[in-house]
Order: sequence, then C-alpha cells, then structure tokens
Amino acid sequence: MMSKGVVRKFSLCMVVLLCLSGCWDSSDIENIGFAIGFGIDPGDDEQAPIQLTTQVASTKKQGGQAATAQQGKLFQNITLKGNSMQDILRSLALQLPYPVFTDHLETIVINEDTASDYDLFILLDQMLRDNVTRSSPAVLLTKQTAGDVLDVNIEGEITSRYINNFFENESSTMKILPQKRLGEVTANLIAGTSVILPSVTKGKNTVRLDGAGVIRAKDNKLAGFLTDNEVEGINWLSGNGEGGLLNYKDEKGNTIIYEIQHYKAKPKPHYQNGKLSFDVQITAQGWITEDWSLTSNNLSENYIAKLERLAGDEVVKIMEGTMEKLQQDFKTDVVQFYDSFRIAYPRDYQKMKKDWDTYFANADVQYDVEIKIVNTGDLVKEGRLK
Amino acid sequence: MGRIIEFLARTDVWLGTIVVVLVPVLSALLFKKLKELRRKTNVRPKQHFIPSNIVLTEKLTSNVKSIKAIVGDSSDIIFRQFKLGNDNRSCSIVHIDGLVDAQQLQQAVLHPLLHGKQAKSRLNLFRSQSIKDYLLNHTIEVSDIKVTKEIDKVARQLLSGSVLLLVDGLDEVLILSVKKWISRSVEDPISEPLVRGPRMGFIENLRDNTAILRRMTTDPNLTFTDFEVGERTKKQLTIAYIRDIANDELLTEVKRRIEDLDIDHAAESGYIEQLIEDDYLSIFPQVQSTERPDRVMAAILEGRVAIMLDGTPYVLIAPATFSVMLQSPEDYYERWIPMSLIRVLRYIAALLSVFLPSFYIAFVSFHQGLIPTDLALAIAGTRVGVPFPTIIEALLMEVSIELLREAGVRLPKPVGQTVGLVGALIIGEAAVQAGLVSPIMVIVVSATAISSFVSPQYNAGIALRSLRFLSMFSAALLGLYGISLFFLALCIHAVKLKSFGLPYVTPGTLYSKEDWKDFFLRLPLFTMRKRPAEYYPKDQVRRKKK
Amino acid sequence: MKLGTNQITTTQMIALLSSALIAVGIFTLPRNLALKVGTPDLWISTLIGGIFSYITCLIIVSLCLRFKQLTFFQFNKLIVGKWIGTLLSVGFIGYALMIGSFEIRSMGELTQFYLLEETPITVIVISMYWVAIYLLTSGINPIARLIEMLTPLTICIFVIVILLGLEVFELDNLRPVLGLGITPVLKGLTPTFLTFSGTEFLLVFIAMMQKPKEAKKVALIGLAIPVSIYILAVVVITGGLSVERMKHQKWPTFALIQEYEYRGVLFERFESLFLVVWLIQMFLTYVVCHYVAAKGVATLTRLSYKKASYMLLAAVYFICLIPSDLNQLEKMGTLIGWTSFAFSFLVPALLLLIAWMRGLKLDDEQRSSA
Repeated sequence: MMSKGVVRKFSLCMVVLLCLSGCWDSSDIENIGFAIGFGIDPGDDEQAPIQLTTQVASTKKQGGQAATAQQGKLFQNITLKGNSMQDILRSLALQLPYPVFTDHLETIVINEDTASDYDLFILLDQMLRDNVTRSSPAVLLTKQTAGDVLDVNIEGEITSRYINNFFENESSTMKILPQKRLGEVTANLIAGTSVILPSVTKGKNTVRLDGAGVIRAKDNKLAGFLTDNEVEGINWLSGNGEGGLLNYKDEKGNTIIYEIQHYKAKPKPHYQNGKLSFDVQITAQGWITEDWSLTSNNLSENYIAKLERLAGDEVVKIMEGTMEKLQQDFKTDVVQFYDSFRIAYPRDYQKMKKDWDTYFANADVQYDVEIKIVNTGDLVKEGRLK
Repeated sequence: MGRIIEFLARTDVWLGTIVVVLVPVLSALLFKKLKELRRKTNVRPKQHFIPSNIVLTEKLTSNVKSIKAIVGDSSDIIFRQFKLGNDNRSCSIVHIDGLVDAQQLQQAVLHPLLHGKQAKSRLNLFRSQSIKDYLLNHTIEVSDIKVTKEIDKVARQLLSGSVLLLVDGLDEVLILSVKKWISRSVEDPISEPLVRGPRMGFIENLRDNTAILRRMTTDPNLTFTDFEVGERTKKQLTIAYIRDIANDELLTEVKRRIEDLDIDHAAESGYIEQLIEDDYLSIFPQVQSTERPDRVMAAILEGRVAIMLDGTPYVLIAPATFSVMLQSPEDYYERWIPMSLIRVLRYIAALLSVFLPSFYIAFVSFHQGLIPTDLALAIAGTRVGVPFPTIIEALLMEVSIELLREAGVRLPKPVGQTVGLVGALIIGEAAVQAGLVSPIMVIVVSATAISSFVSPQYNAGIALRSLRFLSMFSAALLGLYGISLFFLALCIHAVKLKSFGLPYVTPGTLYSKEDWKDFFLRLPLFTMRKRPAEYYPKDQVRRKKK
Repeated sequence: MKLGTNQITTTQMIALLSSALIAVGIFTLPRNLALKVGTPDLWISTLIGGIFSYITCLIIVSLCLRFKQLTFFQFNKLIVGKWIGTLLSVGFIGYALMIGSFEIRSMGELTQFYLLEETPITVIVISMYWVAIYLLTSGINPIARLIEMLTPLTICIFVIVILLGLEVFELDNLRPVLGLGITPVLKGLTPTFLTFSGTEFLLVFIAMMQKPKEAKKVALIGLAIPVSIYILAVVVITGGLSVERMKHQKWPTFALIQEYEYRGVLFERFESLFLVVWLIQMFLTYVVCHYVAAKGVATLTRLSYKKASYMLLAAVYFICLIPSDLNQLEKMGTLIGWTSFAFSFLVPALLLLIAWMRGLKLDDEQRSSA
C-alpha cells in the first residue's frame, strides 16, 4: 500500500531531522556562570590596557547548603587583562569550565583612572551591543581599584547586588544619587550631555556609596569627583532625588532636621542677546523630625515660618556650593538644565547643543526656594524661657 | 547581479526550498489518506441474524418450533404451554427468565387467561379475530401490548424482555411488556460530583433515563426519537431535544450521522461518540459526555441535542465547543461572582496544565536571562548534580506522575491509596534526595498535575495532558519560539476543527454578545436573556423581562 | 444555520485589517521616524500618516464596492483590459509574496538575535512556514477565525507591555510640541506611510465580506486600532528613551522594554512576553499576505487554491533568503514600502478614476444578467 510506504519514509525523515537538529541553543542552567558584576580597571602594559574583573555567581557551590555556610562566599571573581571587553570575556573560557552569560549583569564599577583615560562610550560599547545584556545594570565609579571593590566579601551577599541595592535607600537621604542605569548613561552619551555617576568605595569589610563622579560631555571622560554634600546639592538642583533629610541650624546653633517628603526643582531658563540665565525654583514639603532647641514653640506660626526660611537659606547655600563647583571646576551640566532650555528654546538649543557645557558654565543662576513644613511631629514643646 | 547569480547557485537554498515544500505536501497527502480510511465503506454482506424465511402460521406448535429455532436452545428461555380457561384452546407463553416481572406475569396474564369465563362476552371464540379481540380487550391486564406478525420483531422483543403470547389459531403474536430486571438505583454521579446540585445521575437503563429527563419538565416539546444501533445487537438509542428550540439543520445532521453509523455492537456511548465525531485525528473531544441529567437538560434547553444509549449512564451532547469543556453545571447554581472567578481559574489551569513544564524547560535551558536573577540562581543551585538535561528530567517526572495516576485509577480503592502514598514518597522525597531530579521540577510537575485535574470534563483533561508532552518537546527543541509555534499550531488546529458544523472555538471567534456572557465569566443570570447564539436556536428568548 | 459559509464577518474583517497593519513596523518605525523627524513630534507624524492611510482606504473601498464580490484580480481586467490587468495582478501577487517573506525574515532575524543565537535561521523560518501552511490550506474561514481569536489577545498584551513602559516615561522628552515647526513632522510622513502598508489587502478581502456595506466602518476601525497602537508605542518610547536615543537604537521598542524592570514579579523582564506575542502577530500578517498571493495565483491560473499555496511556499522561502544581511533587509523594507504606496494609493486611485470615467459598475442585477 502506498500510504504505508509514505508513512515509513516520513517518520524516518522526521526522526532523522529531530536527531540532527538537536537543540542548538539548549544549555542547562547549572552549567552556566552568571556574570553579576563587572569591574573595569587600567591594565599595566600597552598590550593589555584594560583589566576586567568579572564577578560570577557561584551556583556550583550552592548545591549543598552546608558548603555555602562554611565558605560564606557566593561569588567568584576572575580578573583578566586584555585589549577589549569581549576579548576578555571570551578569555574567561580558559579559566572557567562553563560559559559565562551576562544576562544578569547588575553592576558595572569603573576605576577612576580608566574613566579619565578612556571615553566612557568605548568602555560600555560591548554591553550596549550585546544582545543579552540588559540596560538595567547600574554604572558606578570608584577611586580605588574596581576589582578590589568587588572583592569585598559581605556575608551572604554578592557584592555587585549589594551595591545595586543601595539605591533602594534613595528616599532616606539626599546624599545618594539616583541609580544611573546603563540605559540612562547611554541616553546621555548619545545626546552628548554630561553624566554624573555615583561613586563607591570599599571599607575594611564593607562597601559604601561615597559622592559621585562627573563625566564631561566634551570627551566623555572623568572630570572629577563630588563629595557627599555636593551630591546633595545635585539632587536639589536636578529634582531627581526621592527625598531625604535637610540638616541645618537655627540662629542659636540648635540642630534642626527637616525631612523632605517631596520636592520639585524647576529651572526656568532665560536667553536674551546671548546671555543665559536660570531661575531655579524649588518647592519642598516635609516634616520636622528633630529639633534640638528647647525654647521653641512649634505650634506658633512665626516659629514655623522662621524654620522654613532658615531651611530655604540652607538649601540655597548647598546649591550654590555645588553649582560653583560645577560651573567653575568641571564646567559641566549634570543637573539637566539643558532639558528645560531645550523645551523653552528648541531652535537655539539646536545651535548651542555642542557647546552647551560652556554656555552652562557662564550662566547666571538665581535661586528661589520655598520650603513648607506641614507637620512638626507628635511632640509639642511650649515656648518657655530658661 | 553577480550576487543574485551566486545566490541562485547556493545548494542549501535549493535544498531548503525542496524541504520546505515537500514536507507539508507529503504530510498533507498522508493525512488525506488517513482521513479517507474512515470514509472508506467496507462492503459487507447483508447479515441476517434472524432467518427471514420463517413465517408465523396458525398452528401453535409450528410457531413455537419456529421461535425455538430462532433463539436456539438457551436455558434461560421459558416456554409455558397451557390451555385457555374458557375454551381449552392451546396457548403458549414464551419469555426470558430474569427479564420479566414474575409476579405481574402471574397476576396480570396467567391468572385471567387460566380462569377466564366465557359469560362476559358474546364472542365466537373459534374465529381467530375474535380470540385476539377477546384477549386484548377483555382478558389481559397489561397496558403495553403489541401485536405483530413479523418474526424478527417478535424475536427481538422476546430477547429484550417482553413476554410473547402465542395462541393456537392466531398467526400473530401478542407481545406483552412486563419487563423487570435488575437495575441500579439512581445515585450521585461518580465522575461528576458537585457540591451543590441534584444528587442524581443517569443509570444504565435507557427508559429510566428518559423518565428522569421527562420528570424535569412538562414541556410538551421535549421529544425523544428512537434509533436502533448495532447491526447484531440492536441497541436502543434515543436522541432528546426540545422541538421548538433545537435547530433543524443540527437535528438532521445528528440524525443523519446516527443513521449512517455502521457497527456491530455499541457497548458504550463512547462508541457512538467516536463514530459520529467530525475529526477522528483530533485530540480534542468533539462531543460532550456527561452522566448528569441536569446538565443534559440545560444543554437541550440551549438548543443542543442529547444522544442517549441504552446500557450506559453516559449521555452525549452535541455540538460541543472548547469552552463547554471548561464549564460545570455548578457555575450556574452558585452566585455569579465566585463562579466567574472559578471559571477564569479553570482557563488558567487549562493553560498551565499544557504549558507550565514547557515554560520551565524553555526558561531553564534556553532563556536563562529572562527570569529574575534570584530565581535563576535558586534554580541553578537546586539543579546542581542532577545528571539529566531538563527535558529528560521533566519527561521522567511527567511519565511517572501519569503512571501513578493510571495505577491509582484502575486499582481497588485501598490499594490505590497505597500506590499514591508510595508514589508520593518515591517522587517527592527519594528522587530529590538521590539527586535525580531537582525539587523545583517536582513543584512544577505537581502543579501541572493538579491543574490538569481541574477540568470538569474528564476527556478534556486527558486531551490537555497529552498535549503537554508535545509542548514539552517543542520547548526542548526551540525554546520559547518552539512554544509559540506549538501554541499557534494548537490554535490553528482548534480553529479548523468543527463539531457538527459549529467551529470548536466558538465564542472565541464569530463573536456574539450572548455567547460572551457565558465564556470566560459567568455573568448574572438576568443578563442571559437569550439563549447562546452559537447553536442558532429557533426560540432565542429565554426570558422576556430584562 | 449560517455555519460554514465562505464569507467573513465584519468583526473578522476588522481583526484581519488591523493584524495586517501591525507587523515589523512596531520595531522599525520608531527609529525610522526619529531619524527623519529628529524632534519629539513623532506622534504627530504617525497620526497624520494614519489619516492619510484612511483616505487611501476610502479610495480602495469605493473602488471595491463598485464591483461587488469581485476581488482585485478579477475586476482589474474589467477596468483596464486583460493585459494590463494581468500585469497588475502579477505585480500584486509579487508584492504580497515579498511583504510576506519580509515579515518572516525579520521575525527570524529578531528571534535569532534575542532568543535563539545558535539556531540557524533557516530552521526558524522553515518551522514557521510549516505551521503557516497548515493553516493556509484550509481556506479563508479558519484564517479569519484564527485572526479574530488571536488579534484581541495580542493587541491587549502589546498595549499592556507598552504601558508598563510608563515606569520610565518622562514627559519632558516629549516637549516641546512643534518646537521646530511643522517641517520635521512632514518629513516623518514617508516612514509612517511606508509602515502602514497592508491597507491594499482590502482590495481582495472586501469581496469576501458578508456585509460589504460595512466596508467603510471596517476601514475606519481596522485602521484606528493599529494607528493608535503605533501612536501609543511612539509616545511611550519617545517619553521613555528620548528622541536622541531612539536614533541610535536598532530596535527602540525592544530597548524600551529592556529599560524597565518590575522587581519581585514572576516576570521581571517583559521582553519574552512581548516577543512571543509579536511572533504571533508576525505570523498572522504573513498568513494574510500568503493567502492573498495564493488567491491571486488561483484566480489567474487554473491551479486550485491549495496547490497554489503549496507552490508559493517555495517562493516565499526563496525570497526571504535573498537579503544577505540586515542592511539589505532594511532596503527591502523600503522597497516594499514604496510598492505598497503604489498599490494602496496610485493603482486604486487610477482604477477608480478610469472606472468612474467609463461608468463601469457591476451590480447584482447586472451580474445575474451577465
């Protein structure tokens, strides 16, 4: 019968096809190393100018839980030198018995020297091109060796993830810059604007966020670092923070803590006859959460108004300090004033885009801060004199 | 230009072209052949199980002899000769022992015959017409009496439990229906238990079943039409429908298919189902089967047709769609909000039972980057030391679950429980501890198994369970892409499938407002003012007021 | 019972038209637009392009309604004679084949890039063709049913996945509106219009509608759905990525989906979901193209529709392998766009003009007499 022959041939074909085809892309999850963090440092010689530390989550050891507890290390760092990122990544194959996938990359830490020697765009090129790396890893700078920062062993944590999780504290302090993800950095690089990246330092057995580094738009290289307090100013100016504390003193020197619940920064650009100036309007709402003065009556409107005024002055002081550094030392706009200018003067911006940082550095900035205290907490102090 | 020529010269392109065309063409031919197999009519000689050359005569002895010749020498057939009480005429009663209500036979038939008195009527009993008249009108106290001359009908009736009364001088046989046989009492249907709803299931006796349906309504339009199926066994088959609701085209189609079916013996309604369904190569059941009378009643009130076979409690309902397979009568008995949620849950369960293991395979062995980092690390950690690739591991577990289930179903209850226990121990504990499978795989497999039991229609559940394996293979071959292709192929198959002319995925296509009220959600009853449009009922309105 | 007719309902027609329009464009349009326009006014271009497409649709509809129940392949002979008509038909078939293979090839490239790096593209493409032919051989009814069943699902998931991108949305990226005037917006019309190719398939499908009177409604709704999805996508992508970045991303839509991340949900990353849905959508678009081509071949020659679709399988496979790399594929896309312009605007407009001047019209009475 004809159909029988056809059946036999057909099933034979299918079986052969299935066997031949196999599963090209199949690879079991336990036989893969997941790169969780990258640390980029300068290499010492000409041939291999880049040193890449890859932090690989060690799944092999997680099998027995006892093993994990004893060794207490969930990752494995491999440091290799080479002249390109992809090259180094592939060289890992010489050291590790399993392929390394970068799908789960969480953090990229870049050393100060590398950042000032290389265009940031070049350093990140491989990750942007790669089809599996996502745009979510956080990019950070460090003054120390990036490899050493990643090497810090924190009990039960993978360092890269640990660093990345810092940014969830964004709403508790103004001294943390919002997380700069790879995607956002790329957006800045492509748009030709300066970038500010948080910086991380390692302590003895810890890592901490510490200030930020500024990448200037001119050549995408590191211009310098800002301190924690200046980062606070950046957050006030850009309006990107989520809230935090404002620590200031009243005229008698008593410490007062103002907790910002939400705030807004609105730079208003003015451009006339080639003169650029900004009016920065800041409005904030928050609570008084600590007040060391004993004589105050926090129910009196006068007193509240005084506190509000003082807080506003403090904010202006912080911003002026930061702005001076940005305009004088770094000459970079990392507080996104260009955005408001682009919206207000789209045609002029097209022309000024290239040298925006120079225009920014010469701009006049006025501040107008309005702080509102909506609550002074559960405690009422009667104004009594001692 | 040169590039094009170079391209034209590439052999792999030509080879691919041949493959891409040849494989579907060949498989189409194959399927065509397979489909024709069913349509091929086997010419078989007309079978006569009852010799038709025998005719009834007026002589009792020869008639009795003829019947003996037909039914043979079976020990359970009782021939009782006697004389009529008033004129000593020879009579004979033939019946099957065990199928007849002996008491009624004695009281309503034998007693009046043996003690009959001439006085009451002035009939001349020596004429054959008048003896028939006498027996029918004056003597026998049975309501269902038929008189026939056809010998094969006589034989069939005898064998189905009727009592034959043969009278000397009469060339006809009186068929008295005093049937009684052992029959199960009406019980809660085992395969479709409900928390709320009538505790009543069909039983094996067709007449009882039609009576159960009749008891549910006094609508004169409820119609039963009888057929006989089985060339040899001649089982009684009844289709039930509401005359002024069921669509005529549907009805003629059902009748045509039943009349066309050719089978020796239909042991269960499953036989009928397989013989009348549209596509025998499909994995989906295209006819619904149930043993719940309330379900059948609801279905025929929607304009569908129920097919009942003698000897089985399972009643078929046609046409059926996929959404029907995920509905339970209880959806309508409880309040609409929880039942809508439960129905959505069933759809999710159906999806999970097909796709969960394949998604696991795809994510674990193909797209590790697409799952959250913590989960990826956790899975990787548990899989360390497992000697098999994920697909083998999954197959191993799925097959053993199926084995367990099958073993548990067939065994007597106490043993079945032991099997379950042992299986759970082996699969859940030992296999993991021995490092043969990863604990996450156990979770995946058991979640899949549980969701496949959610389906309220047992046969739909089986279909989904077998689809799961195909889905796993496609995932193992091409990952997520393979799953998408499989999903597409499944959808295409479902879209091509029809049940008695009704597309199988109906409310999902050919949208109609009425059907969507009872699709993913079960909207409040007052909104379902009309009958579902998918069955094209003649009487569309269910209730007038909004 | 109206079961088993050879016609398609109005809802099916709407689903069919919108799924023919949502295709590769969802990946390529944002970048092409950003390159041409350069300002955040991309969405205005999309909107205007959509309106223009609606006008062409109206031309097609009024042309088709003149010749009730005749497809493009049949009525063009009546208008311009046998030879030119055949030429037009052949051109249309070739165009349908090209667009179909283009969709499949793009699908293959993307799948390979994001999902199956090592798998040869021929395997990806061939398996898709096989699934497609399983559907295609059974004619228009199952096709329409499948599209009707899956399109709402895919559209919902598209919208959800794109709306989830609001997490990274910044309104400032969309401002200023018309900052550089209207000129950049007009520049964006070409890529938009090229993306909305697919309306010309109405030329064939209106003949199969159960209620051809509703063809205008079909054109309106069937166009409004994809256009609003495109606008939504363009707006959210512009807001999430900024115009500058859209220019530099090969597939901005995908970049947007990669940009956001919802921690703690089972799916932290939505690109898998998006890709799967998009695969299905591409499949539907391809099926529509292949059906049109096979229908055309069956009308022109004596081949049955089934045989024609099997034969065309070879053609689409062959065509889809012709572009050797992504750049050539993009060139092919542009070529298709311009052909589409011809078939969705120029040809119907000319035909309508000629038919109107010659007073050609085919009504039911005339057909019965003829």
